[in-house]
Amino acid sequence: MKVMNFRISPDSKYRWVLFIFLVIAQFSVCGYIAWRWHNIQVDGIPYQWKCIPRLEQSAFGTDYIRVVFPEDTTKWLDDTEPRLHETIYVYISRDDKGVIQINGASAHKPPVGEDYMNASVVGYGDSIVQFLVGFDRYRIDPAKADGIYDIGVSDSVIASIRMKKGEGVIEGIFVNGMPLEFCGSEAEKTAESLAGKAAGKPAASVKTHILGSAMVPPKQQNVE
Amino acid sequence: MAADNKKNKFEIADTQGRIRFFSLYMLLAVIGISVAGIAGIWGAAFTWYHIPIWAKMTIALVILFISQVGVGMAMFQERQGTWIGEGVALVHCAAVFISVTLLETTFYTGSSSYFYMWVCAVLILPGAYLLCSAASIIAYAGVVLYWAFMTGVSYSPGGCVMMWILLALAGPFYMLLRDHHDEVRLAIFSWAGTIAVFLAFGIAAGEAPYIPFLLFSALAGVVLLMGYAIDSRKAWGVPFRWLGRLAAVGALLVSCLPAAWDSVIRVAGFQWTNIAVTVLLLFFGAAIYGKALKRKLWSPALYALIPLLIGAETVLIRNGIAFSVPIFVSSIYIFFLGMFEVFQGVRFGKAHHLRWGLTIFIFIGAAVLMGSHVSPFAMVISFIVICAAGWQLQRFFRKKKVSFFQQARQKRHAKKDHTVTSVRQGINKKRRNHPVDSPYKSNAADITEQQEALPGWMTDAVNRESAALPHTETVSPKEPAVSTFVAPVFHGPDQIPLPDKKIFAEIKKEAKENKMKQTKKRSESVKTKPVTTSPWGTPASVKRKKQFTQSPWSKEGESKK
Repeated sequence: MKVMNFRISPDSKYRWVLFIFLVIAQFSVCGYIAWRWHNIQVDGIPYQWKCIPRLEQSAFGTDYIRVVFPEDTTKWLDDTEPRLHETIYVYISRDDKGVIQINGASAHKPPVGEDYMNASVVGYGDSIVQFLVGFDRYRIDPAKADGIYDIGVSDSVIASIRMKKGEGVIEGIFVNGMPLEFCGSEAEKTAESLAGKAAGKPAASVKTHILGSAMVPPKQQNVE
Repeated sequence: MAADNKKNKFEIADTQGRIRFFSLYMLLAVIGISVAGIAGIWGAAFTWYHIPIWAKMTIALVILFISQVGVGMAMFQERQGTWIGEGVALVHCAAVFISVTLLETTFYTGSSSYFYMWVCAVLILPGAYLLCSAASIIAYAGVVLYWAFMTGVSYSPGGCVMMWILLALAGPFYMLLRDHHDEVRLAIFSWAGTIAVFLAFGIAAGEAPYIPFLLFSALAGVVLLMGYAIDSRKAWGVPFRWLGRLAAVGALLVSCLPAAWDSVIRVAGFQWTNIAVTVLLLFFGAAIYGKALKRKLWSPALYALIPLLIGAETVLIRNGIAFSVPIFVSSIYIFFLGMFEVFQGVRFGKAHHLRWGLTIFIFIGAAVLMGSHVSPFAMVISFIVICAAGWQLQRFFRKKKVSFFQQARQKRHAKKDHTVTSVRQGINKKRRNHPVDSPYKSNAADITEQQEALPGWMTDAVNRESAALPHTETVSPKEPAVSTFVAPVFHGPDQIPLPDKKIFAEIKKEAKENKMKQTKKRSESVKTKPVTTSPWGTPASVKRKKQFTQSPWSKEGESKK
């Protein structure tokens, strides 16, 4: 008994139906990718998290910088140990100022009402898991990205993030409350002049930032 | 002639110059396009940030739309399964990748960096089916394998099962090509598919706590039997047969190593999925061997026994009955297989089998030379078997018990000019020497020549038959018919006598008279005709009488009052 006479073939009568389905599916996926990003930005819960921005290495340059979050360890809440590169869920909350609080990590999603981040396991030991989150890019004008060289150790660098269903989008990076885009040479001049005025000294003698060694890419050493 | 040669030389020089010019032009064009491309990418990278997000999305969607239109056009023009169709399908794959990558980088949310490959793979598969494109299917399988390898089967969504499901989605393409009798694509697909299956197995086994050579041998056995179920003259059965053989022997070779069994002993418990899949594969293999195989041959049977052998060895090892027996049995069996293949090659002149048999021995030698991995007992046994095999081979060649086929081959190869060209040239020489090639020719020298040309086994058979049968005249030659043909005698123009001048004068006179008579007749006929209309006017149309036709129903009802 022939129940269904459907063959995926270039000769079959269903080929145009399949073609239309293909077109719809491809456009839908493209639309979903854009909608997901937009939806996180609109509906996501805002958080603030300490970060370290890095320049991205690329042959043709990039329109983004890499963002590293130093708070990348937490206690493991499960009995079974996590495996390397396994996808885990980091339980998070926020304090009164909106700064992120990491409460632990598990292989299972938290109960409804609690927020979480998707992450992958980088290391594990003594019930402490080291994780890596996916949202590690921040779009910035390449001409304004040089500001990260001026970030010092004592500077407070905060990433403004929006989270929804474990995925996040970095909305902005602020150095001492100032957007990273304005931390370039122009911003330094204004800051110097402001500081000079306040102290009653010439602007050239005031150094606003100390260069941290961790912020600058290492120089190439000549190996002989 | 000289002018023609000069002209030809000029034309040749002209074409060579054109070729040089065009090759230089092409080289410059390629360099120019490459430089322009790099400059374009560089420029786009610098300005990419300043392009609005909606414009980036539009670019991605336009690229995708153009490729979809291309697919639709190719389908409308029925280019499925052609080289144009293949090209369109590949461009469509590239467009899908470009579009999704553009969107993923523009709308970056930090999802898995390899997950988009999974999405792309799923999106390009229907296009491959619609255009019947083997290249797209191969690209699809490659993307799936790359995704599984980079993500790790355990961490990819759906795990190992998802990888096999995605690969299985390409399976119906085999049926599609077989139904369309597209042998070239089917052969390419078979090679790619078989390699992809074994690569997938490798990726899946990479994360296992032990070497799953039992499962591997079962898979190899099924692939091998599937190859034997296909007609041996068809090209697409070759990868199944040979890669199946290779994998089966590989699994058997692994079972010769003590380290492999150590991991099997140490593992706490086999996964039920592994056991289930192994049992299913064994049943499937048995079904193919029982039903689909057209001829029950020794070769597939020997290879199909490997999973059963390893299965039995695994049971022994897991029950702690005998730890050395599996290595011993596997070593003997692999040597036996090598010997069998070498014998096949030598006995029947099958070079592939001979090479394969020698390869098996090289594998074994490499495993032995690897050092302490192979047990000494297995080494002793292998040496014994090698010596026995060598002794047998020596005996074999000394007694010259060569087959009829080999005799024929030796005779053919003994001739120096045994190539396609030389054979043809030899035939041509023979034809030149004997221009009248009569079918009734039966000289003694020709008969011996014909017998020499025959293979050895045929000459022997002919001699035996001729010696056994009494000589009787069964065909009486037909008497040649007496021909009535007389050979023509050719004369030169000087030898042919010319007619007299009087005769010429008479002929001319008669011709003049005839001409005069004809002109007179024409003038008389013109005078008798009355000239009524212009000769250039149109002839008067003949008035036709009107003939009214009546309908058969026209008088109907007249009789009624």
